Amino acid sequence: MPIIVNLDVMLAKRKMKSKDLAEIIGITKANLSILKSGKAKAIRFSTLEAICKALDCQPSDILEFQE
Amino acid sequence: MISLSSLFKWLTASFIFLVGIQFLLTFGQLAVYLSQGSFNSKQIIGIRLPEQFSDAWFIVLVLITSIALAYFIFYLLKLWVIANDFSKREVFSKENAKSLNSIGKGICIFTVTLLGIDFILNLSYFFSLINQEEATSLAYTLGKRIGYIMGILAKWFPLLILAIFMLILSELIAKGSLIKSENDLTI
Repeated sequence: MPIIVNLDVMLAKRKMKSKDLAEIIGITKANLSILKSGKAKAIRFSTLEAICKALDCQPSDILEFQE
Repeated sequence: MISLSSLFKWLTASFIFLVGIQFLLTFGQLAVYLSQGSFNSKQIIGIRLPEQFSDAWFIVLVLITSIALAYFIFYLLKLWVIANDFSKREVFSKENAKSLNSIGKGICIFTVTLLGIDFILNLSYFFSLINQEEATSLAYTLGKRIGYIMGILAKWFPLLILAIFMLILSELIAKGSLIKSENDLTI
């Protein structure tokens, strides 16, 4: 899929663990792993909003389009 | 109250039992022939054949019918596995869609095979209709022949409808599994 999820990069920048982020945004670790690995087929606006709030960033920092 | 999925499971099990009995009755005729050297009565899927019908041809017919019935039982067992999945609420999966598709095709082949056998076995009666004394008018003979063909078709038509229903259901389950996987992978 040409949409790349840069969640790992943002987590490293904010020095936050996946487990902590999952707890803050209220999703399971397994679902966060699906999102990080790029296996997810869609992301809800509410989840994106929660991630952006937790990591204090913009959606463009997390999602990237590559040909 | 019994749930629909359990009802489906029990109906499938009863169907397997009934077809199994039919298989034993059909195949059992060979055992009778082997032990006695002759057939008690020549009967296949409820059709009684004339006594002068050759033993060799009857054995071939019994074997073809038994194979068709065994094939049908195999697909019914597959359906029973799916019925179990349904009762566990794992309905929308690619495996279920594939199995239902093969069951639908299998039942179609079984029905067409037995419809052919039924028709061939009754050909002698079909052609004798025209020679009967009461068949004085052409319209009467034509009507009786059409009625006769409709009778044979009506006997096997419900199974054909079941097969088509299975094929439609398999397409719905395939589409459902796609939607389910998309829903499962939406975070």
